[in-house]
Amino acid sequence: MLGLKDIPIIDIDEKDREVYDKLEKSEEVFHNLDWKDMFIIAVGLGVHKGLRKPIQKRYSGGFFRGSYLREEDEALLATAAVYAESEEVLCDEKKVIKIVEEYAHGGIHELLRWVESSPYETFEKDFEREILKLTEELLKNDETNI
Amino acid sequence: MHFRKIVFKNYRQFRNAELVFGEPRTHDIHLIIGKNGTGKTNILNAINWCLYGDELHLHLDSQKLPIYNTATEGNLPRVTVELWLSREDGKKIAFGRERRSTDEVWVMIESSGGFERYSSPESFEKNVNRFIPKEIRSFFFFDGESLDTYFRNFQAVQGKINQLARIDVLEGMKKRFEDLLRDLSRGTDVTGELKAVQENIEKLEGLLAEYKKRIEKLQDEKTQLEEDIKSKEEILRDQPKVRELAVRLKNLEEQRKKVENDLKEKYEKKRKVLIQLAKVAYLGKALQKVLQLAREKRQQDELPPPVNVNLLKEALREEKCPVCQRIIDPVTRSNVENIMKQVEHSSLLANRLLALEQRLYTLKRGVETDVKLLQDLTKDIERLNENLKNLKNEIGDIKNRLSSCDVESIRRLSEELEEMKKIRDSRIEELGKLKAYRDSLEKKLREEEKKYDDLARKRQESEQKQRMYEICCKAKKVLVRTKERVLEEIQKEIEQVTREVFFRLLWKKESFKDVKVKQDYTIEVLDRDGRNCLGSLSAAERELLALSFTLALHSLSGFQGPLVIDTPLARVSDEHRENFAEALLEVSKSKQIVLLLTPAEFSEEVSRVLQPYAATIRWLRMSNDERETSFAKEPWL
Repeated sequence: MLGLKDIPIIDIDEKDREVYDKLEKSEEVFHNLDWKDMFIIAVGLGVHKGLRKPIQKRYSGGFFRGSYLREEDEALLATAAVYAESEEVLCDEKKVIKIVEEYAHGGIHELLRWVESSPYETFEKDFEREILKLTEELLKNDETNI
Repeated sequence: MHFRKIVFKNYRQFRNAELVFGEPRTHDIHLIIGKNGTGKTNILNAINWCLYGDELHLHLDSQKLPIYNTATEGNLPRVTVELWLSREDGKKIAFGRERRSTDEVWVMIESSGGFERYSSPESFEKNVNRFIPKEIRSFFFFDGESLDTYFRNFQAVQGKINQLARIDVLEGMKKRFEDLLRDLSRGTDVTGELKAVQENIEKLEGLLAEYKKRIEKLQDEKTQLEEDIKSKEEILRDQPKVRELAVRLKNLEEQRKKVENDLKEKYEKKRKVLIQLAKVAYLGKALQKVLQLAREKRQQDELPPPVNVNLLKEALREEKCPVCQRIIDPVTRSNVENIMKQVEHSSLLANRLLALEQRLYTLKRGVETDVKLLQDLTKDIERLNENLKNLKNEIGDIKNRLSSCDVESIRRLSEELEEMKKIRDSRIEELGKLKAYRDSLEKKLREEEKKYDDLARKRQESEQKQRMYEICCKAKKVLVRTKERVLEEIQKEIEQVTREVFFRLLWKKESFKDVKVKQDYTIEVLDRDGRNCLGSLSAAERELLALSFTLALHSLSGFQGPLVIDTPLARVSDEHRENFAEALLEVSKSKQIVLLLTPAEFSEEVSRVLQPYAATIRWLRMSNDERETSFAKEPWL
């Protein structure tokens, strides 16, 4: 519906692949996680922290196929792009993908930094705590809007 | 016994009459004379009715009449006949019968204190039987005409003689013995059965002894085992229960594994939920912004898209307006195509924003659910961790305890104890079975012993029966011999008395030589040449013979009752009546004789013989209306 599934390949920066591998191995919470899901988390963290970095060199193999995206994934990526620029991006799927690739690039490094800077066995609890806090804010805002 | 008086009240012709018998001087003979129909035979009937309740000699005419006197007023007048008699000892006895709706009887017996009255039928019958029993009454109260036909039916006579001589009692006894012998011969021989039961008892006793021995042995074993168990339990009392601890440890380890697996599962679930939430949470602000944007667009009527592009496409394809059906000209077509170019972009944007809005709302709802799920999972994980902690503590504790003792020794002791307990339990079970079987054997033995007692009693009874059978056989033989001897003696006595009386009373003694009574009581009168001349006897001689025979029977029976003969001379020709009357007179010297005579029988010759000696002479006098008869001392002229 949003047309993102039609994008053949979603890319990451060539240097990011190593970061993704590290994260997958370092923390239980990311163990065996789909690249797609970790990519979306990286996009979110990038948006949250305002970390948008242009891709220097695309990873040659491509990161994952657009067809892997589910409708809810499409919605999240489109939301990130609209938030970053304007609703006009909804008519341009490639633009949406470009925006989210840049946020993912910024976000994944921030995530690794966070993991690596956390004392042993504290990241997961901090991560959970932050997620719950953000979720609470989301639901609270929603109540306010209603 | 002698008749003293007969009292009639409303009995047939005798409405209110009394026949008083005079005191005899030398001869106890009494004459009642009456024409035919005046009631002579009914005197005989009255005696029978009073004593036995029937009227054997009732004429056909009288049978149609009621028993009560027809001149009597009232529907059911009371009918009474009383017989007053004197016994050999001079005491009086009276029998009475009254009939109204039913018969009532009484007997009055004189004693030193006066008369005593007995009203029960049993007393009455008992006293009648002492006087003249019903069975032999026909030898005492009879129609004279029957004397003439006396010997025509010897079989009947024989039966009566048997009754008279109480041979029937012997016959009855014989029958009773035969019945008894039949019953006694029914006894069953139980010797074989008794032997079989005894063998069974011995077998059961043997088995029982064997079982008791086995029970005792098992009981000892059980006691020994219990002592050993107690001693081992004593040793193990202060020792950790290794076996139980090991089992507990194993269980705890299994529980721990399960909890760990559950935990792993919960963590995995939680991880997935957390990732899902993370994907949305970091984009929370962005999500709020997009939803806000959609709301604003909706407020500005930009959502949903204001132009229906599809409708425009249809108009261009069909070349007419889908609303008003107007044909689209080239100018209009150009205008529509321009509008379409402008709106296509904004429409795509609006549609995608609309779709995005819907998905974001779905995501938000998912967030709510996931948060709740995450909280539940967190709680579950906490609980499971707590459990795991406890389990680990307990496991550690048990391991410590086990490491501080001689596990091998305790385990060996425990195993031995368990083994002993198993053996003891199996002994208890076996004991239970054996005891149940012993009880069943004892019950069976008691039953067999009872059966044996019953059979022994039966055998004893059978032996007793056998002895009784033998005694009865002997008794029956004695009885049969006795009966034969009694019959022989009776026959001899009857023959002797008949001969003696006949020849004493006979008027031409030289015509006959002897009288013989055979075994079947047929009688023969032998003439001078020794030939049987019974068939050629005159009626008077024949009646005399019958009278002699009857008197012989009286002698035989032992009942010295009076003789009441109705029309004794009716069949006797004139030239012999005087002779026969003399014979009767002779008899009356020792026996009361009541003769019921017609005036023809009481001829001048008979009167000359009898009248001077008669203690009583009464004439039956009938009333003018012929409904009542009375006794008169003089003939009615």
